[in-house]
Amino acid sequence: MRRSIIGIIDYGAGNCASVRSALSKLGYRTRLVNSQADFNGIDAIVLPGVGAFSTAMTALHDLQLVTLIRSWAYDGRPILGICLGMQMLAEASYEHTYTAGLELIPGKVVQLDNPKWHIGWNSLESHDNESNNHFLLDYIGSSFYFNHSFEFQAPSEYIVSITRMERPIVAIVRRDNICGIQFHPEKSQISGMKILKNTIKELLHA
Amino acid sequence: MLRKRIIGVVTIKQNWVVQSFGYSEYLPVGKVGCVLVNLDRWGVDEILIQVIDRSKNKLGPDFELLEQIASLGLGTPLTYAGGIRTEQEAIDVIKTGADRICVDALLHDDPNVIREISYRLGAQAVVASMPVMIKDDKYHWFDYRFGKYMDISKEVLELLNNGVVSEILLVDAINDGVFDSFNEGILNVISDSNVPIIVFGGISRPEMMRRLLLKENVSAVSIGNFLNYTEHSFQTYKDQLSDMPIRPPVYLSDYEYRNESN
Repeated sequence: MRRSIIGIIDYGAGNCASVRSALSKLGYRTRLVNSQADFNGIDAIVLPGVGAFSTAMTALHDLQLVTLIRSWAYDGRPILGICLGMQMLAEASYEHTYTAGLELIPGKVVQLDNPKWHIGWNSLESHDNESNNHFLLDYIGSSFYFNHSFEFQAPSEYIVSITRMERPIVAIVRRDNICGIQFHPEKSQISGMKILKNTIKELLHA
Repeated sequence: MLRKRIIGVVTIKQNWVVQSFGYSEYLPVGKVGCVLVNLDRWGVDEILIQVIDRSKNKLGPDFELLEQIASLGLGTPLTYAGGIRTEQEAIDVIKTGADRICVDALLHDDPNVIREISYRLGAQAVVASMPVMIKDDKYHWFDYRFGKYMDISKEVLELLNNGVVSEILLVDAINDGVFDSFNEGILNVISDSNVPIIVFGGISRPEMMRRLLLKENVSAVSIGNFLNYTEHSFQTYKDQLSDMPIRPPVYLSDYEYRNESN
């Protein structure tokens, strides 16, 4: 049986090594993607990310990947964004300066406040749209590793799961075959590997 | 609910994991890869590696080591400390597989670079390490490179308080490696700060961890030498702290998710 190939968008600022290692452990073939040719033959793309939103979007533009990623999404093909990669799916971010995002899921990215950071292991809670996201229900209550200081504020219809500090914070968003995860599944040990496996599987077969 | 963390600290000198005693004596523990794989298998909440001979010898970050670690495919969050001098080095450390960076010597040498790193990577990726001691009712800040104590400058205190770093690794420098000896008084060094504190140095018993975890401004407790004395020590600590707001111990094998992807 042919193993699926996952393209990892490599724009010079992501934690590609960790994501690649996790996907390989799960049995997927992986390919770093930073040009149009790299898209040939892949089955899904993962957009990782650590760092500032504006820098990351500039890097995507410089590599002429923005149009390619959007076209991929408009064709209904699977995309998974992780942490900053999830935030880049939004319409825009206010990190440092107003910066347009990939505009694949409605919503904006704003700074966390009081506390200013969300660092550590936190559990997932279900949201209203869980009927369409049964593949995630097993993970409600499980803890995952978060490390971010900005959050994705999305309309309720796109929110799959939340987590909680003083108030709810969006943990997972989904629009059709585009999914964003605020935490780091690749750094959330066994729970993370399981949710990563199920999410990719769901997106590949949706 | 956001859990408080128990962090495994791995001290590396000349490519070997060592036990550290008071920043002056070191005993070998073993190979880096073996120790990290064990901590990952035991499900520690986070791993902090500190390569203590990089800044001292002006060598920059140990990218060769980071690449070796990346090849291990650890599933545990990793914070790297050791030799970071510039914004680009910090970015490259993250690109090589670390999730966060920890700076110590840079606080002494050039706090402005820390501001630049924080702007580029986000404060959530930056931890400040502050080894301190109390002497004659005064707080002293330790520069481990030169073995000297000094006052904490206003500039550094401001940096710690204004959101440039997301956590402070507060180290009891004198009691580093000494059984059950962490001086809780050092928490007052930065009592005005609202930045969460990771405590480290001489923390070995669950009773002490419990006291520290109950403090509002403590986000994590770190253990170094004492993780190496018994098998599954991390899970044992967690079992004994099951009444605390921490993640339960992990015992599952990771083999079950392998090779089932398609």
